[in-house]
Amino acid sequence: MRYQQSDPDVRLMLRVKEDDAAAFETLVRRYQTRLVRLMQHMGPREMAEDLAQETFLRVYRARTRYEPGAKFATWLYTIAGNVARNANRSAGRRNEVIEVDAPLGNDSAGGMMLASAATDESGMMPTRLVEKTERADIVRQAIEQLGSRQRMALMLSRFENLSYAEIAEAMGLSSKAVKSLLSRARVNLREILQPYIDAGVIPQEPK
Amino acid sequence: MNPQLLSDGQPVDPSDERLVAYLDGELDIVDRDQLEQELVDDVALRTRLQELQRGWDLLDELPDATPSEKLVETTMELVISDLTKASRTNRKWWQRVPLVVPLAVVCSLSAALGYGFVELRRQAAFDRELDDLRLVENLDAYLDGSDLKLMRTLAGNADWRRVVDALKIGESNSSVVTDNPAIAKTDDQRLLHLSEMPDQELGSLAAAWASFQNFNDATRAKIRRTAETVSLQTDADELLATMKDYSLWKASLPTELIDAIEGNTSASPIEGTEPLSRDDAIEQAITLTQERTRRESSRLLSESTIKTIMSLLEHILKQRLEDPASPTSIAKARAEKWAYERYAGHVDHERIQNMLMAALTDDGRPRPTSYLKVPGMNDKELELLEIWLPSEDLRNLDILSGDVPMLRASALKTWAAAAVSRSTEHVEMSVLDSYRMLSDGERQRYDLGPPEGLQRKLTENQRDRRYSRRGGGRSSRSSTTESDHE
Repeated sequence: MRYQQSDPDVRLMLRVKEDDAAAFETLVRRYQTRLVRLMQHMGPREMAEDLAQETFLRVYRARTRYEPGAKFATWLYTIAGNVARNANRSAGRRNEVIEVDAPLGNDSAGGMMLASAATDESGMMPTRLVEKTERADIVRQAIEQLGSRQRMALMLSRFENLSYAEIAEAMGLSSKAVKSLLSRARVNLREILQPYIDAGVIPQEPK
Repeated sequence: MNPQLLSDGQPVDPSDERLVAYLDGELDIVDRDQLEQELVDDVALRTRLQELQRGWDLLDELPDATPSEKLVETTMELVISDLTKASRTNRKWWQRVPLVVPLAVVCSLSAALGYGFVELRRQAAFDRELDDLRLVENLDAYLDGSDLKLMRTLAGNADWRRVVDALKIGESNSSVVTDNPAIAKTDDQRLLHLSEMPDQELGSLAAAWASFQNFNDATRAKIRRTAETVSLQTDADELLATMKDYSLWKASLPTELIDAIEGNTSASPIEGTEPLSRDDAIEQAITLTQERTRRESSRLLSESTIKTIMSLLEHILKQRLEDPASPTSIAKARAEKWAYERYAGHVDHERIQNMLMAALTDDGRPRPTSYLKVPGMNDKELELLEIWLPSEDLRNLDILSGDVPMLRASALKTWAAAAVSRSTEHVEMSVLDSYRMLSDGERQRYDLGPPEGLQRKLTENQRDRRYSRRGGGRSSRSSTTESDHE
């Protein structure tokens, strides 16, 4: 009841439950960008829009079973997580560690690409301060090296501003587990990106 | 550049975990204050905090996702197609199609193709008609309420809302439009709704459909455009509800007010007068509707409410008559005197009682009983009436008059007058009825006499009965008999 009163998206979803297609369209418009961004990092990148759409469809099909027990976003991201996991399983990408939560480590192609971006042919000196798009590539590849659960927790915390408790609900974990996941994610990001910062490829301070 | 990353199973440094919780704003006040103190004192800890935050800050480098403009559109198409598919599996007559198709395939491939082609075309036409049906369900709303700015102005006007609600008290069964805006949003719902629609509503819908089909292409296109525009608004449901209400309201207004409200340039004001502004026209129209709804609300009173009101009026009259010097007692004495003189000593007390009640509820309009000089219902008596009213009528009173005492009193007086009028109403007596009311002796006497005598007698009886109706006589049988003795 509390969420029904405070979360406008819950109220919209309750209208969707009553087969109000216009309310559903509002929700799609409201969440499409965020869901596509999440899917760009959680599923096969080229399928991000398809996966976002699949998530919306599942939400609609599940409308009659919806009960406003939490923030709407939490429920949506639970479904999104399942859709991404299924898509990754189907894609069967051997080079990416999806189902096991081990990071890619030092033999990943992504890591090699990052290395080449950061150093010259001798492997010793930084070539240049990279452009914004390249910096984005470096960061994206850094995220890809994280395990899927760390990545999901990172996306929900950093971009969706969910609390530990909300992330725990969306991912079916305890708050303590989320705390550990996010700590590992931060530490790992630091491990991956620090060399670029040290080498001057990425500026020390945010631009 | 070969970082050793922490997998989910590996333990994380508790100090790092604490720093991350601090950065995420998840530490309680005590832990936070303690950590901040440590950060002030410990340079290494501060550096670690900055490192952990720096990686996080770099996430800002990621560009925003830019979904295709078609994503929403295609998602909604998929949802609708999903719904249609699901609904078809539930339709009984739909289920017969798969039986027909395999038979046709077995008989002849070409026949199947032909069938498929015809079926597809039929289905396409059917889908188009269903789309139009959604418009037709709200045809009046789309025709009358296309000025969305006006609709929003009206929706924000509390007085307008009240008069429209009052107007709807008696109109609930007469509108073609559905009460629930969520109804008929999808094809399957529309079909279901149609199948369950009562005959009367179905007939109205059919009439609206025929009107829509008779419009020219341009008008139909305009209606479709209006519907599409409305559906794209964030407040589409509320807007459509206002449009329906406006359409209902508009039907009760005179043309010159409608023209002024809608800003029709062709509207010509009465000669010598300034054209009305939209706001003034709305205000005038609201007042007009208030008067009309108050007048018409009395016909909605149930028989039991009428009886309740009559009981109360009898009670009030009794109380007033307890004081022989009260104006009501004086009026009663005068009426009895008049009746005594008029009917040669025969006084119909029930008729006089009704006349007094009619005078009591006199709403100022000229009536035969006005000469009785009985004071109208006072505030206390009206308050009593309000207490006695059933809750449903009280709700109507609230809708009609809100909290405005003057409006409430006016509506209550109208209802009391209507109760007296309805409870003393008589069916017009035919000549045959008049003949049947004669006593056996009278009938024998007049039957044997000249026809003119019988005709004169029957006409007199009818005239007396009509008088009784105007004057408020509950039962004119006795009064008619009394007059016979003149």
